Amino acid sequence: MAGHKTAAARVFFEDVSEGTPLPALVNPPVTHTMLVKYAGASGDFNPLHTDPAVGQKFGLGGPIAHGMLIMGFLGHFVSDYLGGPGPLKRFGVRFKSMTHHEDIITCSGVITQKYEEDGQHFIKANVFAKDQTGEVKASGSFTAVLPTRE
Amino acid sequence: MGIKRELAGHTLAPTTFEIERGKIREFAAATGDTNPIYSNRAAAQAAGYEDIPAPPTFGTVVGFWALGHEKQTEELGFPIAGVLHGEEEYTYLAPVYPGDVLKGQQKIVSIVDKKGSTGPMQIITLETVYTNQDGQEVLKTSTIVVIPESMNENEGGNA
Repeated sequence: MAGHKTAAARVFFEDVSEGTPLPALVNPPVTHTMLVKYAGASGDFNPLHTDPAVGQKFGLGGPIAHGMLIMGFLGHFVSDYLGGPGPLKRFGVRFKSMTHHEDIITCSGVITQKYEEDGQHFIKANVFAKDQTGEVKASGSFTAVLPTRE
Repeated sequence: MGIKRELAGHTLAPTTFEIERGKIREFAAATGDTNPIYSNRAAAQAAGYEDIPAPPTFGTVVGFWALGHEKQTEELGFPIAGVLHGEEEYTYLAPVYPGDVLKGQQKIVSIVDKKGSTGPMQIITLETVYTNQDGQEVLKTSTIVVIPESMNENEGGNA
Protein backbone atom coordinates (compact mmCIF):
# COMPACT_ATOMS: atom_id res chain seq x y z
CA MET A 1 0.00 0.00 0.00
CA ALA A 2 1.42 3.30 -1.07
CA GLY A 3 1.68 6.27 1.26
CA HIS A 4 1.90 5.34 4.91
CA LYS A 5 0.13 7.89 7.08
CA THR A 6 2.35 10.16 9.14
CA ALA A 7 1.70 10.27 12.88
CA ALA A 8 1.24 13.69 14.47
CA ALA A 9 3.58 15.20 17.05
CA ARG A 10 2.48 15.56 20.67
CA VAL A 11 3.65 19.17 20.83
CA PHE A 12 1.40 21.79 19.29
CA PHE A 13 2.60 24.59 17.05
CA GLU A 14 0.93 27.20 19.27
CA ASP A 15 2.92 26.03 22.29
CA VAL A 16 6.41 26.64 20.94
CA SER A 17 8.21 29.87 20.20
CA GLU A 18 11.60 30.80 18.88
CA GLY A 19 14.11 30.49 21.72
CA THR A 20 12.15 27.76 23.54
CA PRO A 21 14.65 25.18 24.89
CA LEU A 22 13.91 21.46 24.43
CA PRO A 23 13.98 19.23 27.54
CA ALA A 24 17.58 17.96 27.88
CA LEU A 25 18.42 14.25 27.78
CA VAL A 26 21.34 12.94 29.87
CA ASN A 27 22.60 9.60 28.58
CA PRO A 28 24.33 6.94 30.67
CA PRO A 29 28.18 6.90 30.48
CA VAL A 30 29.55 5.39 27.27
CA THR A 31 30.89 1.87 27.89
CA HIS A 32 32.60 -0.78 25.79
CA THR A 33 29.43 -2.90 26.04
CA MET A 34 27.35 0.01 24.72
CA LEU A 35 29.62 0.34 21.67
CA VAL A 36 29.53 -3.41 21.00
CA LYS A 37 25.71 -3.39 21.21
CA TYR A 38 25.53 -0.39 18.91
CA ALA A 39 27.92 -2.06 16.43
CA GLY A 40 25.66 -5.11 16.24
CA ALA A 41 22.45 -3.10 16.03
CA SER A 42 23.72 -0.72 13.35
CA GLY A 43 26.00 -3.03 11.40
CA ASP A 44 28.95 -0.63 11.79
CA PHE A 45 31.77 -2.97 12.75
CA ASN A 46 34.60 -0.49 12.22
CA PRO A 47 37.13 -1.84 14.78
CA LEU A 48 38.00 1.72 15.88
CA HIS A 49 34.88 1.43 18.03
CA THR A 50 35.04 -2.10 19.34
CA ASP A 51 38.68 -3.22 19.35
CA PRO A 52 40.68 -1.32 21.99
CA ALA A 53 43.98 -2.22 20.27
CA VAL A 54 42.91 -0.51 17.02
CA GLY A 55 41.88 2.72 18.76
CA GLN A 56 45.28 2.78 20.49
CA LYS A 57 47.14 2.05 17.27
CA PHE A 58 45.65 5.10 15.56
CA GLY A 59 46.61 7.28 18.50
CA LEU A 60 43.01 8.10 19.41
CA GLY A 61 43.49 7.33 23.10
CA GLY A 62 41.54 4.07 22.99
CA PRO A 63 38.29 3.12 21.29
CA ILE A 64 36.03 5.94 20.14
CA ALA A 65 32.23 5.87 20.04
CA HIS A 66 30.46 5.63 16.69
CA GLY A 67 29.52 9.12 15.56
CA MET A 68 26.15 7.63 14.71
CA LEU A 69 25.68 6.49 18.32
CA ILE A 70 25.93 10.15 19.31
CA MET A 71 23.46 11.04 16.54
CA GLY A 72 21.35 8.14 17.84
CA PHE A 73 21.32 9.79 21.29
CA LEU A 74 20.20 12.99 19.56
CA GLY A 75 17.57 11.06 17.60
CA HIS A 76 16.23 9.64 20.89
CA PHE A 77 16.17 13.18 22.32
CA VAL A 78 14.29 14.56 19.29
CA SER A 79 11.91 11.57 19.25
CA ASP A 80 11.10 12.14 22.93
CA TYR A 81 10.26 15.76 22.20
CA LEU A 82 8.12 15.03 19.14
CA GLY A 83 6.52 11.83 20.46
CA GLY A 84 8.18 9.70 17.79
CA PRO A 85 9.83 10.08 14.40
CA GLY A 86 6.64 10.91 12.44
CA PRO A 87 6.82 14.72 12.52
CA LEU A 88 10.48 14.85 11.38
CA LYS A 89 11.20 16.19 7.91
CA ARG A 90 14.94 16.70 8.10
CA PHE A 91 17.63 15.96 10.68
CA GLY A 92 21.33 16.56 10.19
CA VAL A 93 24.43 16.76 12.35
CA ARG A 94 28.12 17.48 12.02
CA PHE A 95 30.52 15.48 14.17
CA LYS A 96 32.89 17.80 16.04
CA SER A 97 35.04 15.68 18.33
CA MET A 98 35.53 12.08 19.41
CA THR A 99 33.72 10.40 22.29
CA HIS A 100 35.52 7.92 24.55
CA HIS A 101 34.53 5.40 27.22
CA GLU A 102 33.01 6.97 30.36
CA ASP A 103 31.96 10.17 28.57
CA ILE A 104 28.49 11.33 29.61
CA ILE A 105 26.65 12.82 26.67
CA THR A 106 23.90 15.36 27.27
CA CYS A 107 21.57 16.27 24.41
CA SER A 108 20.10 19.75 24.34
CA GLY A 109 18.39 21.99 21.84
CA VAL A 110 16.49 25.17 21.17
CA ILE A 111 13.75 26.18 18.73
CA THR A 112 15.21 28.61 16.21
CA GLN A 113 12.32 29.18 13.83
CA LYS A 114 8.58 28.55 13.41
CA TYR A 115 6.76 29.18 10.16
CA GLU A 116 3.88 28.15 7.92
CA GLU A 117 4.38 26.86 4.41
CA ASP A 118 1.83 25.26 2.06
CA GLY A 119 -0.67 25.02 4.91
CA GLN A 120 1.76 23.11 7.16
CA HIS A 121 3.27 24.33 10.42
CA PHE A 122 7.02 23.90 10.72
CA ILE A 123 9.58 24.30 13.46
CA LYS A 124 13.34 24.31 13.16
CA ALA A 125 15.62 23.63 16.10
CA ASN A 126 19.34 23.44 16.75
CA VAL A 127 20.59 20.42 18.70
CA PHE A 128 23.83 19.70 20.55
CA ALA A 129 25.48 16.68 22.11
CA LYS A 130 28.07 17.69 24.72
CA ASP A 131 30.17 15.72 27.17
CA GLN A 132 30.62 16.23 30.93
CA THR A 133 33.20 18.99 30.29
CA GLY A 134 30.91 20.86 27.89
CA GLU A 135 32.87 19.83 24.79
CA VAL A 136 30.58 19.60 21.76
CA LYS A 137 30.65 16.12 20.21
CA ALA A 138 28.01 16.77 17.56
CA SER A 139 25.76 19.65 16.61
CA GLY A 140 23.08 20.08 14.02
CA SER A 141 19.45 20.87 13.43
CA PHE A 142 16.09 19.38 12.57
CA THR A 143 12.89 20.47 10.87
CA ALA A 144 9.52 19.04 11.92
CA VAL A 145 5.85 19.54 11.15
CA LEU A 146 3.64 20.20 14.18
CA PRO A 147 -0.13 19.91 14.52
CA THR A 148 -2.21 22.93 15.55
CA ARG A 149 -4.83 23.01 18.30
CA GLU A 150 -7.83 23.84 16.12
CA MET B 1 46.35 5.95 -0.96
CA GLY B 2 42.70 6.55 -0.37
CA ILE B 3 39.97 5.91 -2.91
CA LYS B 4 40.37 6.74 -6.57
CA ARG B 5 39.23 10.23 -7.48
CA GLU B 6 37.67 9.02 -10.74
CA LEU B 7 35.01 7.24 -8.65
CA ALA B 8 33.28 10.60 -8.13
CA GLY B 9 29.88 10.35 -9.79
CA HIS B 10 29.95 6.55 -9.53
CA THR B 11 26.75 4.86 -8.36
CA LEU B 12 26.96 1.61 -6.44
CA ALA B 13 24.80 -1.34 -7.42
CA PRO B 14 21.44 -1.05 -5.57
CA THR B 15 20.73 -3.36 -2.64
CA THR B 16 17.50 -4.25 -0.89
CA PHE B 17 16.83 -4.51 2.84
CA GLU B 18 13.67 -5.71 4.56
CA ILE B 19 12.72 -3.76 7.67
CA GLU B 20 12.28 -6.15 10.61
CA ARG B 21 10.56 -5.30 13.87
CA GLY B 22 13.28 -7.02 15.92
CA LYS B 23 15.94 -4.87 14.26
CA ILE B 24 13.99 -1.70 15.08
CA ARG B 25 13.67 -2.76 18.74
CA GLU B 26 17.36 -3.71 18.92
CA PHE B 27 18.47 -0.42 17.36
CA ALA B 28 16.26 1.73 19.62
CA ALA B 29 17.60 -0.14 22.67
CA ALA B 30 21.21 0.30 21.49
CA THR B 31 20.72 4.08 21.41
CA GLY B 32 19.12 4.02 24.87
CA ASP B 33 15.61 4.75 23.59
CA THR B 34 13.09 2.68 25.56
CA ASN B 35 9.99 4.41 24.16
CA PRO B 36 7.50 1.51 23.73
CA ILE B 37 6.50 2.77 20.27
CA TYR B 38 9.75 1.15 19.03
CA SER B 39 9.01 -2.26 20.55
CA ASN B 40 5.27 -2.61 21.06
CA ARG B 41 2.84 -2.42 18.17
CA ALA B 42 -0.14 -1.47 20.37
CA ALA B 43 1.84 1.40 21.93
CA ALA B 44 2.88 2.59 18.47
CA GLN B 45 -0.70 2.48 17.22
CA ALA B 46 -1.91 4.35 20.32
CA ALA B 47 0.61 7.07 19.39
CA GLY B 48 -0.81 7.30 15.88
CA TYR B 49 1.57 5.02 13.97
CA GLU B 50 0.47 2.13 11.77
CA ASP B 51 3.07 -0.14 13.36
CA ILE B 52 6.37 0.34 15.20
CA PRO B 53 8.16 3.08 13.26
CA ALA B 54 11.82 3.23 12.25
CA PRO B 55 13.64 5.61 14.65
CA PRO B 56 15.13 8.86 13.26
CA THR B 57 18.63 7.48 12.60
CA PHE B 58 17.54 3.97 11.51
CA GLY B 59 18.70 4.80 7.98
CA THR B 60 22.21 4.02 9.16
CA VAL B 61 21.15 0.41 9.82
CA VAL B 62 19.86 0.05 6.30
CA GLY B 63 22.99 1.74 5.03
CA PHE B 64 25.39 -0.58 6.83
CA TRP B 65 23.49 -3.84 6.52
CA ALA B 66 22.22 -3.30 2.96
CA LEU B 67 24.89 -1.23 1.27
CA GLY B 68 27.56 -2.31 3.66
CA HIS B 69 30.98 -1.28 4.73
CA GLU B 70 32.25 -4.45 3.07
CA LYS B 71 30.80 -3.38 -0.24
CA GLN B 72 32.32 0.07 0.11
CA THR B 73 35.62 -1.58 0.89
CA GLU B 74 35.37 -3.95 -2.07
CA GLU B 75 33.91 -1.59 -4.66
CA LEU B 76 35.54 1.65 -3.60
CA GLY B 77 38.62 0.69 -1.65
CA PHE B 78 37.50 2.23 1.65
CA PRO B 79 39.95 1.29 4.40
CA ILE B 80 38.52 -1.12 7.00
CA ALA B 81 39.18 1.05 10.03
CA GLY B 82 40.44 4.45 8.97
CA VAL B 83 37.17 6.14 8.08
CA LEU B 84 35.91 8.99 10.23
CA HIS B 85 32.37 10.33 10.03
CA GLY B 86 32.10 14.05 9.30
CA GLU B 87 28.41 14.74 8.75
CA GLU B 88 25.11 12.92 8.36
CA GLU B 89 21.79 14.31 7.17
CA TYR B 90 18.42 12.64 6.70
CA THR B 91 15.49 13.90 4.67
CA TYR B 92 12.34 11.98 5.59
CA LEU B 93 9.88 11.55 2.74
CA ALA B 94 7.54 8.82 4.06
CA PRO B 95 7.30 6.61 7.17
CA VAL B 96 9.13 3.27 7.29
CA TYR B 97 7.52 0.27 9.02
CA PRO B 98 8.30 -3.43 9.53
CA GLY B 99 7.75 -5.41 6.34
CA ASP B 100 8.78 -2.55 4.09
CA VAL B 101 11.46 -3.55 1.62
CA LEU B 102 13.82 -0.68 0.90
CA LYS B 103 16.07 -0.38 -2.09
CA GLY B 104 19.08 1.86 -1.57
CA GLN B 105 20.94 3.54 -4.37
CA GLN B 106 24.17 5.15 -3.25
CA LYS B 107 26.11 7.68 -5.26
CA ILE B 108 29.56 9.11 -4.66
CA VAL B 109 28.93 12.80 -5.13
CA SER B 110 32.44 14.08 -4.64
CA ILE B 111 35.95 13.18 -3.55
CA VAL B 112 38.05 16.09 -2.41
CA ASP B 113 41.69 15.99 -1.34
CA LYS B 114 42.45 18.33 1.51
CA LYS B 115 45.35 19.08 3.78
CA GLY B 116 44.22 18.92 7.40
CA SER B 117 46.04 19.68 10.62
CA THR B 118 47.19 16.06 10.83
CA GLY B 119 48.20 15.73 7.16
CA PRO B 120 46.51 14.95 3.85
CA MET B 121 42.98 13.56 3.87
CA GLN B 122 40.17 12.70 1.50
CA ILE B 123 36.70 14.10 2.06
CA ILE B 124 34.03 11.96 0.44
CA THR B 125 30.37 12.93 0.05
CA LEU B 126 27.86 10.12 -0.48
CA GLU B 127 24.15 10.44 -1.21
CA THR B 128 21.70 7.61 -0.92
CA VAL B 129 18.05 7.45 -1.93
CA TYR B 130 15.86 4.73 -0.45
CA THR B 131 12.71 3.60 -2.24
CA ASN B 132 10.11 1.22 -0.79
CA GLN B 133 8.34 -1.75 -2.35
CA ASP B 134 5.74 0.61 -3.89
CA GLY B 135 8.39 2.67 -5.63
CA GLN B 136 7.84 5.52 -3.18
CA GLU B 137 10.93 7.44 -2.10
CA VAL B 138 11.04 7.23 1.71
CA LEU B 139 14.44 8.54 2.77
CA LYS B 140 17.41 10.46 1.45
CA THR B 141 20.71 10.50 3.26
CA SER B 142 23.75 12.63 2.78
CA THR B 143 26.97 11.43 4.38
CA ILE B 144 30.40 13.01 4.57
CA VAL B 145 33.28 10.77 5.58
CA VAL B 146 36.91 11.66 6.07
CA ILE B 147 39.79 9.32 5.31
CA PRO B 148 43.02 10.66 6.80
CA GLU B 149 46.01 9.36 4.87
CA SER B 150 47.84 8.53 8.08
CA MET B 151 45.08 6.18 9.22
CA ASN B 152 44.65 4.71 5.75
CA GLU B 153 48.29 3.66 5.58
CA ASN B 154 48.24 2.20 9.06
CA GLU B 155 45.51 -0.22 8.20
CA GLY B 156 46.70 -1.13 4.73
CA GLY B 157 43.98 0.38 2.51
CA ASN B 158 42.11 -2.12 0.40
CA ALA B 159 42.33 -4.94 2.91
